[in-house]
Amino acid sequence: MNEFVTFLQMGGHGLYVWLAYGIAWAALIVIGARPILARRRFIAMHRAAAEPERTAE
Amino acid sequence: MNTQRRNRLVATVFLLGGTAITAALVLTALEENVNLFYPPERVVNGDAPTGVTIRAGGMVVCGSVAHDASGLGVSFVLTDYQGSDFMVRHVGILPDLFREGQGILVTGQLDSGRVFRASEVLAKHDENYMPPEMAGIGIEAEACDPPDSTEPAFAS
Amino acid sequence: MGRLAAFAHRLGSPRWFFDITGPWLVVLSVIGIALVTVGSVWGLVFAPEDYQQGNSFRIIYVHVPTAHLAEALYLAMGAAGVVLLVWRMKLADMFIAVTAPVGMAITGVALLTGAIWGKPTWGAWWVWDARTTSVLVLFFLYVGLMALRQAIPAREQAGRAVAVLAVVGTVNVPIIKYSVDWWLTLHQPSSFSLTEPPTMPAQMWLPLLVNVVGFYCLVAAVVLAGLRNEILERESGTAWVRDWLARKLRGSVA
Repeated sequence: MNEFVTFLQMGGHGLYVWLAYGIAWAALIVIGARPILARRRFIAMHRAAAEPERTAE
Repeated sequence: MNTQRRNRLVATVFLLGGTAITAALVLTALEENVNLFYPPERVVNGDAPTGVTIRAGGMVVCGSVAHDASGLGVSFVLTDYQGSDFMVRHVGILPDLFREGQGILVTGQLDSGRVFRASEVLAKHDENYMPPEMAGIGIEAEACDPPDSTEPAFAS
Repeated sequence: MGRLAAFAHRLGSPRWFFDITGPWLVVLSVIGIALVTVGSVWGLVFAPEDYQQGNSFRIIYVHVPTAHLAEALYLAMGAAGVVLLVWRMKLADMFIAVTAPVGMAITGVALLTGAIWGKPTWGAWWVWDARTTSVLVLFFLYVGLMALRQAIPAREQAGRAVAVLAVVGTVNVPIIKYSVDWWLTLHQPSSFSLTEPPTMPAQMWLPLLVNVVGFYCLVAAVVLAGLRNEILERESGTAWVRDWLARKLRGSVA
């Protein structure tokens, strides 16, 4: 446990190191999620457009 | 390639070439002003103005760092290892990486005695990263060995 | 028609591009996530600390990959700009449109991680030296590309104007790269180069290499995914997109 805390503290530079990695990872997640969500939106939009036709049949 | 495309290609090449030449001319004209700091040589030969806030840089001369008996005052000498060096006087906090043999930038003013009165001290590190065990145990001593290269970083 | 010309001709077909890139996207994502995970854990846990900087040195493993990518993405957009201006290839326009926000985010990360690294090592978050300033200019070029596209309503004109800015802006890339050699800067020279041996031991640069390759793969996957969406949207009236959607809505395509 103590060892883990030492690791997190990074010899006093923990805040800097984790902030930098946090920003980098967060950015990767955001830019990665955008196209996935856009694709879902695109399909959902066309599903909504297709639904009324189906119910009308 | 048809004529139309060739013309567009030529236009694009001119666009890029023109921009590159413009940028090169502007940067050449700005030359000295783009440099972040005055190297020791230009501090010593009088190129650096006195009484104006400027930046200067150099390597901390080994054995030159003298802390005041009380307070945060410190003075040290910066050099380019090529014969130019000048004295710096600073009152305040030094960066963690500040040590003898280290590259340092100082912000402040040259006084009439050409002593640099620094209001801010920044550490310049190089790209030679190393684990502590490789650098040897006496880190300070290591940095203060005679320089293995005459670092061009602080020569203009 | 030579092989290259044939390839270029097919690249002109967004549908062909969409069809072949599906598997690439999966491969690049998987490799990218794996490498960034390995590289980050390696850099955070197993790489040794620096003899001067201690653990703040570990920021290099996210700073260098993003800084490299920031320049590489802009060069790629510049190349696409030339292709668009000369050959009027639609895919090149879509590439610039998709890459600009990604490049802006990556450049932002490079600037922020650089600032965070600067504080404990240099003693300042920010210094206006040639390197930091030229990267800030790069960031604003990305912003400018996006703003310019927004400002011009007609898609084709917007695409060409943006392409001109993309081409012109590439002049900044060699300035960024050589700023540390041409001028006196606080920023240190490159730690990573294709042509010269690294200036640090293998236990320090191997995780860096892993993360650089990983970030490239991940960002390539993100750009590819964005391009595929852009293609679907711009071609949404065509028969092949309707077919694709119909299959998709029936749930027969993964």
